[in-house]
Amino acid sequence: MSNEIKVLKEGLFKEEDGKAVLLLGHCLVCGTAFFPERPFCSRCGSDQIEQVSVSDGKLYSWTTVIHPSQENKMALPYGMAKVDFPDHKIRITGVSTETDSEKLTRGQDMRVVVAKAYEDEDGKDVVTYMFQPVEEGK
Amino acid sequence: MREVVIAGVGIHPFGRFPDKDYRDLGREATLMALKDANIPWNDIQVAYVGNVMAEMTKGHQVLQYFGQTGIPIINVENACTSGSVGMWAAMNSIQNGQYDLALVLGVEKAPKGMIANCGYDRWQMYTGTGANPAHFAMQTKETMWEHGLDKSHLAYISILNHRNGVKNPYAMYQKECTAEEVLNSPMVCDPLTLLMLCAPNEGAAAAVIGTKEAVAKYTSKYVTIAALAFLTKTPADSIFPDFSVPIGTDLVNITTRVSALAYETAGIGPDDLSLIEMQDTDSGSQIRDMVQAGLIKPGDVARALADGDIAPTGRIPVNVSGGLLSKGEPLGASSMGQVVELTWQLRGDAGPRQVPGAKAGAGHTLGAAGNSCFIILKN
Repeated sequence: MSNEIKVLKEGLFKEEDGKAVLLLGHCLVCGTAFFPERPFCSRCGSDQIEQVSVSDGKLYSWTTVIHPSQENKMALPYGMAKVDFPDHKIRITGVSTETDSEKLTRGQDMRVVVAKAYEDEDGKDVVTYMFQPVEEGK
Repeated sequence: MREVVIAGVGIHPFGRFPDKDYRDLGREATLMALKDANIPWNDIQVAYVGNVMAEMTKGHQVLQYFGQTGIPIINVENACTSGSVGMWAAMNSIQNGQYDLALVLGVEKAPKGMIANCGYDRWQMYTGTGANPAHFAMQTKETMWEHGLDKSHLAYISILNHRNGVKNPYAMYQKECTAEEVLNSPMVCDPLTLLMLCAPNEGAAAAVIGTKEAVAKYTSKYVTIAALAFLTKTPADSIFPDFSVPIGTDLVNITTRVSALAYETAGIGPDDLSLIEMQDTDSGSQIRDMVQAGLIKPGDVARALADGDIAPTGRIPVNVSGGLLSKGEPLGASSMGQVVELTWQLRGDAGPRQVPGAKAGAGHTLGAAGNSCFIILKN
């Protein structure tokens, strides 16, 4: 029997047409996109913000974390990456599903997935957005 | 605006001092600065104290020990720029005519390991993405790609700064290291190994500043603050805890903006500097920042490092104090540590680390949430 699912934080991601997407703010005044979404534009301060989403991007940079940081609940090692989403001209940081840095290549296709980050104190699986390499042909 | 000079400086060694309280560290640096300036505590009109991690009213706890003179004491917390932002505020209050003499102190007792409470939200911390070295590591990869560098260039920065630190009695690590030792030290976040990252630690550094007229009554060995610029980030700066940046904007990075403002104010450009102290949080950050501050041209980094441009005898000596890689980083104190080193260098008091004939020196700091300061001193 699998554990009950708990979302890490509401408003970061959702399922859309069977795909996991990140939820961004997009400023209707200056065109800047930002993640997570917020009520004021990070560049011009406007409150004319629409919600947009991204799911497919290109790997910009990455690393593997092998030492614990304060409050971390992830199993070590875990990957981190920055992924570019050209649709909204934005680069986003997050957990990477790939923990072996040697297996990754700059510019390779990545997609947003929702996956288990850790099990919380109540035995629930806490899920968050992660970046996953797109395997060829899939 | 009135010209502001540094009358005297003081420092408590950077390292780990389990038997000392932060008050002890701060008081030692303060006393040394007051003595160096030949200015009694009773004559100080305002004090700014940079610190990140200590308790409520930390500046008051350190300084009222010397006498409760009733002056304003302002506690400043701006991450790694806490000390230099205190300096900026003190300088402004003197330039504007509010005060004639000020004390600026940076003091810290930071625990070992990754720095906590850097402004991340809980969801970032729980998923391990609030690990600062991971962000430095990704930036370092980006810098390596941009400038065509490899791990040997990262190792070179660690080797050079540690070699410089051997000559600094106030540094935590006064020991040289080899490329092999740097590259084979434990991996923290690839490509950064332990010896490519600075260690948060403990220490204090202080300066007494004032108008030239006020200071000249006490001492003749002052140096001039030619400029001190302070700016915060725009969305284009990829600095934690932000998790996104817009791609392809016309925004300019923070180090270029803050250094340009200081160069313009001082009328002193990167080619006029005798030396610079930089925020070498890690080897990659120093390389990126040297380019962004206009010290090395893009595309010329590998040659500049190979030719020793940034060595103590090179074109632009960088971190002759040993930098944070050898001194360690007491967050609130690290930028004031740069001010102490630059003041000594411009006075010719830097002993075995002296850059001969130093006429102008700069200090660059960059901290969480995108704070950056750039100070230029001249003699």
